[in-house]
Amino acid sequence: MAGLAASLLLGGGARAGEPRPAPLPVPAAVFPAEAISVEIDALVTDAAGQPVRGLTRQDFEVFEEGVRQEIAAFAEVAVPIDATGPGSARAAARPRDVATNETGGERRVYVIVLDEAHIDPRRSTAVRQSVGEFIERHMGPADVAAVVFAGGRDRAAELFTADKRRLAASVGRFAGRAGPPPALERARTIDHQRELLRYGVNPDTSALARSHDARASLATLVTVARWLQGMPGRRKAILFFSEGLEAATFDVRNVVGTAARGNVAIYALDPRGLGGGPGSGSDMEMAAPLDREFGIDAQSLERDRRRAQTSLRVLADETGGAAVLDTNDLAGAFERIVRASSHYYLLGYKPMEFLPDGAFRRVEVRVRRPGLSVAARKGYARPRGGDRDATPELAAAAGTSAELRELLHRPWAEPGLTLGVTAAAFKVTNEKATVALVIHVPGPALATSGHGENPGADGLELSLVAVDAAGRVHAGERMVVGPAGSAEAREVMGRQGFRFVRRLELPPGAYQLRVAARAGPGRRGSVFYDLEVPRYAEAPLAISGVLLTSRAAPRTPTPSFDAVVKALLESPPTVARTFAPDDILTVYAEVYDTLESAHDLAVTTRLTNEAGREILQATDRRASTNLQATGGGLRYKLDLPLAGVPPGAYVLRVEARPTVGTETVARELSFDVLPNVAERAADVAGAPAGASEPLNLRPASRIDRLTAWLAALEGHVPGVPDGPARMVRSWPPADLRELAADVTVFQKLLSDPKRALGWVFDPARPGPPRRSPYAEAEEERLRTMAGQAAARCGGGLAASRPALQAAAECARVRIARRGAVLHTDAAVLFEEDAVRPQARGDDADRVQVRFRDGQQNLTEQVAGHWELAQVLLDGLFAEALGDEAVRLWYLAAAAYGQYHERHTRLEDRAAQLFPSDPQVLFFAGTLHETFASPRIQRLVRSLRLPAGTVHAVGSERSELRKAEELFRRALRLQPESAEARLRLGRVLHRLGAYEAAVRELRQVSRALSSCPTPSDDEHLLAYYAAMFLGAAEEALGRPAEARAAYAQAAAERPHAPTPQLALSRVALSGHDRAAALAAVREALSPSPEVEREDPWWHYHVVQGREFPAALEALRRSLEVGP
Amino acid sequence: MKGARTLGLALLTWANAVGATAQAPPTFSASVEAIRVDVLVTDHDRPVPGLGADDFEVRDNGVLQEVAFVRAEKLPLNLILALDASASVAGEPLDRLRSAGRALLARLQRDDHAALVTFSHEVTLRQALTGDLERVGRTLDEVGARGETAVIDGSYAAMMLAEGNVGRDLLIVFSDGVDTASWLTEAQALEAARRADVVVYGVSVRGQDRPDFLKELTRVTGGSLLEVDSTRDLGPAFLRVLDEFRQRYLVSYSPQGVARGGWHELKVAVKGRRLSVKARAGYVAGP
Repeated sequence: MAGLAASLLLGGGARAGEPRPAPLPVPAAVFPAEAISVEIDALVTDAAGQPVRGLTRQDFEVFEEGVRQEIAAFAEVAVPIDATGPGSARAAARPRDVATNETGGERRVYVIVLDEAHIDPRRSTAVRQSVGEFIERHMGPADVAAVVFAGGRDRAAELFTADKRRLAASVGRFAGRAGPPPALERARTIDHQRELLRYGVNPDTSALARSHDARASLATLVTVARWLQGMPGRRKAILFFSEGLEAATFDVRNVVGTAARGNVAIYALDPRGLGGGPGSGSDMEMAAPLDREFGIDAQSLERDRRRAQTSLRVLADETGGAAVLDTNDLAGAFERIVRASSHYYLLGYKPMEFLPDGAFRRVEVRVRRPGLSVAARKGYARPRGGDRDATPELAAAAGTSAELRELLHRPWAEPGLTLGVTAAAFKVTNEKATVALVIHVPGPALATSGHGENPGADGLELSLVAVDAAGRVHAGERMVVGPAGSAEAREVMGRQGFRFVRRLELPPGAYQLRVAARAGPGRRGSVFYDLEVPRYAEAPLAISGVLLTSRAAPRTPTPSFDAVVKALLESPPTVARTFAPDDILTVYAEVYDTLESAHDLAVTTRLTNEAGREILQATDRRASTNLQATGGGLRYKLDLPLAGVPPGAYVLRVEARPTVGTETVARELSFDVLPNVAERAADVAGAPAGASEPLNLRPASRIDRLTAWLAALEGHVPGVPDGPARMVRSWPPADLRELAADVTVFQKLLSDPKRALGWVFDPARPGPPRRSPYAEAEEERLRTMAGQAAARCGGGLAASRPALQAAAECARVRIARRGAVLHTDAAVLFEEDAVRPQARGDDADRVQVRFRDGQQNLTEQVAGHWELAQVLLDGLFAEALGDEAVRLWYLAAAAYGQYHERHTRLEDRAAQLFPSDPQVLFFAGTLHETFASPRIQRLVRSLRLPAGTVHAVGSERSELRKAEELFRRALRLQPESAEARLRLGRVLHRLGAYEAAVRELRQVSRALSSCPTPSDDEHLLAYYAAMFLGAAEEALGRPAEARAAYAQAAAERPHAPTPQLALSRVALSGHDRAAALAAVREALSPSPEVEREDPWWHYHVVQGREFPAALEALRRSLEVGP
Repeated sequence: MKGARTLGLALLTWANAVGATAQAPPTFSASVEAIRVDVLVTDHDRPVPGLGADDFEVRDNGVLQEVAFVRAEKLPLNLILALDASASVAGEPLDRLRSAGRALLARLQRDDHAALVTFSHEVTLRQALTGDLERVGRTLDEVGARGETAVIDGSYAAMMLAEGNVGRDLLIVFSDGVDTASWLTEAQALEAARRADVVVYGVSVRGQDRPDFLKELTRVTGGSLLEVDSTRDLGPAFLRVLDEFRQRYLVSYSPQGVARGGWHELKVAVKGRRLSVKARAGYVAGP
């Protein structure tokens, strides 16, 4: 029990998956779809047309049929707009064979409807190019789209996908088939019409066909809009490419009503602006003489055009979209569409009155702030009985839980529980293929499941289906992994996760493999993989998909490994596409060669780097005669050691080329090779997205670790959870302790590279120095490294002695600053780790207790990042750094720690170092006030600690006394601090000094009420002051004063239940049961869906609310030059 | 009828106290007011049936009272479930809690009503008192678990809601841990309990913390605390509470020879027999 870990470290009230104290003062937006029946998205722009952010519910007004509606649900949606520069284009061009849901919660949703019946065939190419440009340049990586053909032979073409190549392939099948414009058509058949007129027949013979085509196109729009209705909670855009249609008002209204009901905006894009056909402005000549008798004149074409465009305008205007007509600048229109789908507000309400089903309701959205414009749909149709458009639920494997069925049914993958999937199709017979499917659930995803501290405790349910383009399910499976039994199993699971290798039999065609999984309450996710199963029978030469495995792959538990795949590849195939430099890959593919003439077949694997340079090539040749026994099938397997392959991104290509003919078949995938561990730290952050096996970032030796650490200091970007931070985060506590000792030695060598290292001092373990742990060669390496570090600061071999000293000092400062930032970031930038249970041999004095809801959950090893940062700043290098950086570090650490209930008692040390700093004293006071709280006092009474360990929490009274003293000292230095005085008042109350408490709290209330325009923070403090004043007055037996104070608190926070509870209690003690009951009813949350907010719930952590600013101030103060 | 919701101030015809509204503070009027006390009589833990008014001996602040009326027949029951829905019950314990609640609801009878209150750091009225027990069950199924535990605030609110209903009120409070988030103090909630006309049974899971508050709350209101070893035992514990409650007597008397206001200590015994009698410790009369 000594040194920096001498105190009991109490941690962990808020972990991933648990309610954290809500960010104050405004909680996150809630959009409960069930509680509303009308959902509207509103785009708000300023005078410059730029989207306006940060509006609140109060800024909006919604009117239905002129009656103002109460906005029951509100959310601001902001999906980042991705830059589509050349870099991202290159990244997009890399062949990807792994799908993951690591990103994708924020996405835009488009349906591209190509109106075959109303686009001139001569503009087909222009339309394909234009749509291709939208897909390529305007869709972000997480966005999903579907391509649908309207009014033609083939209506629904695709499922939703983010795969741009697949979308582009669908668009490539488009061909317009519109006939000439009506006027042109009639002008061409003028004689025939005269004949018809003579027999009293309507001469416009094409009218019926046009009407039919229009109805068919609109029917497709209705189908699409109904489809989108089942996807609430976001804006959906239909990009309707059409040259307009002659439709009955009723039909257009039907589309508008359906679209509006599903919150779907229609963007009507007329490709005539693109040129290339009749009616485009360049081709207006009439093909026949004018004929006034038939109403055909010079303006006929223009009239036709306008009439057709009217329907487009109505569709767009009434659904909150836009009509893009008569322009060849579709790029600008695309940008507007993306912008509108990226920043908007979702407003939900329950109409106050109901009209009969099918009635169209006018809706108007207004923004109260001047100078802003709002675009929103103008109404909706109440659904008729027959309009309820629930699509039939997707079939899933027997036993699949409702939760997973629902995920599989959704049109796109959902983030949450991270999943990675790859698949490869192999030929079985001419009619059938077998698809090897690899699914990986990474360990960190499981570790943050419902039992954050207990990965795998909930087990895992996984269900998959193969869906074809028409939405039919062809195959499905469900797998369940029971909860991990042993601590060891949980540990492996938390680190590596699970892998499943399955096999599905599928006929040729395009599929979406949908995989959904859940690991405990609220932890679920899904991933969709687009797969093309080739028609192997039709190709004399074909290649299968490629499976990849690596030497590291078996580390991940594979509870389900299909026997057939296992027979082909001993190691399970992996979804990892990031590999360590010492790994060895195995590539597996099959080639199907049924070419008739005798020949040789060369199968070549090529590895190409980002610059296109070939790094590696291996060719395997077979005579076709040797393949006859296997029906032309060749099983190709290649081991690929990565030793010697420089770190970077690669494309792997497996290619089969026969010596006859010129045909070649090939498959490609891409992966990354990491740098070795010392370099790796800086590069991990740059590793491309894609599921990766957990990295072992633990260096082999102490000196390797120090080398890696020094590299990490240089590579880390402050405030960014990058590779260097991730690397040090992964080091176990014992490693960090050794590192602290190594850094101590290193900083001494900086000043004196020739210093003897027979004995070293361990800063984390005070006591006599210990014998040097380094071998002779390691000592030499240390000295060299120290020399290099000094040289970076200008201390070269030729430098003078003073220059060398200055360089050493510079290097020390650099290490201390960068080190403190790195380890502070390692502590704050990541989600809570899986636990590090205390192990045999661990130091008993370095444990922390995690508790949840007042109960001790477990005792674990302290991770050690705060401690190492403290050693660097306050121990080894304090002198060099000066006080300010150290002070800011303590303030940031205290604010962060107290906000997250990770109590380390470093505040006491800070108060020793900075006895005249009111902020430091304040945090020391709040620490002791927290220790005196019933929650901590109850906890320590029942605490179970390892033998030899004691906690340093005093009795309630002694902790309150300490807090009182610290707050009084803070107030002497800064008497105007309302927060310190508020806390003092509360502490005095708890000590039973009620009159004194009332005096302090009244002073706070007076000071706060004198602010002319109180800030949110001042309102917050006023609430607390009023509540605590009420409690003190109550204790003094002054119910009227207590009631007044609680009423003041209720006025500060009208929706907070605690003031009502307090008022109820005051009423009851005054025998006013009616008032007591009324107040209780106010206090009770009416429904679990209604999020209420009460500062009382956060009083124990609210003092740390400014921790982000404190961390930022720290990072700024520790900024160092290059 | 006013005051019918307040302990001890009910008319003898309490069963007609429909729609009582306690608009004014209760007053003591000896001619019409009566105290009713919910009493459990057991012999070696087995309820004793068949007792009448003559069998009971009631002392109000030490003054022997004449027992006017004893009812043992089944009055409609108002069951208020106040359940801990904090983070510590997440997962399997919550599933078991739901099952136990469902089993309890299934055991209620035709005219019985039930309500559901949950508490984490926030107290939520999930379902007000209703005869639609299936609805209460469905609501129970939707309960999720999160946050800290405000068992004191939750118990206080549930006690307040429990009063003023037709029939007899039974409040069952379940919590698996100690309070970490309440505004009210234990003393304040116990003070409210002394004024309430509700029998509180507590169910807690035996663990690292002693459920001192629930123990005292149940003692004050004449109920009892059942400690189970695991949430697996919640179902039987809930049913035991219900069975026991149904075998209680309602003993009524008009206070004689005692001061009007303040705290009245109650002692209830069965004449001439060594039986165990459980009743509220006393009541608070108006000022």
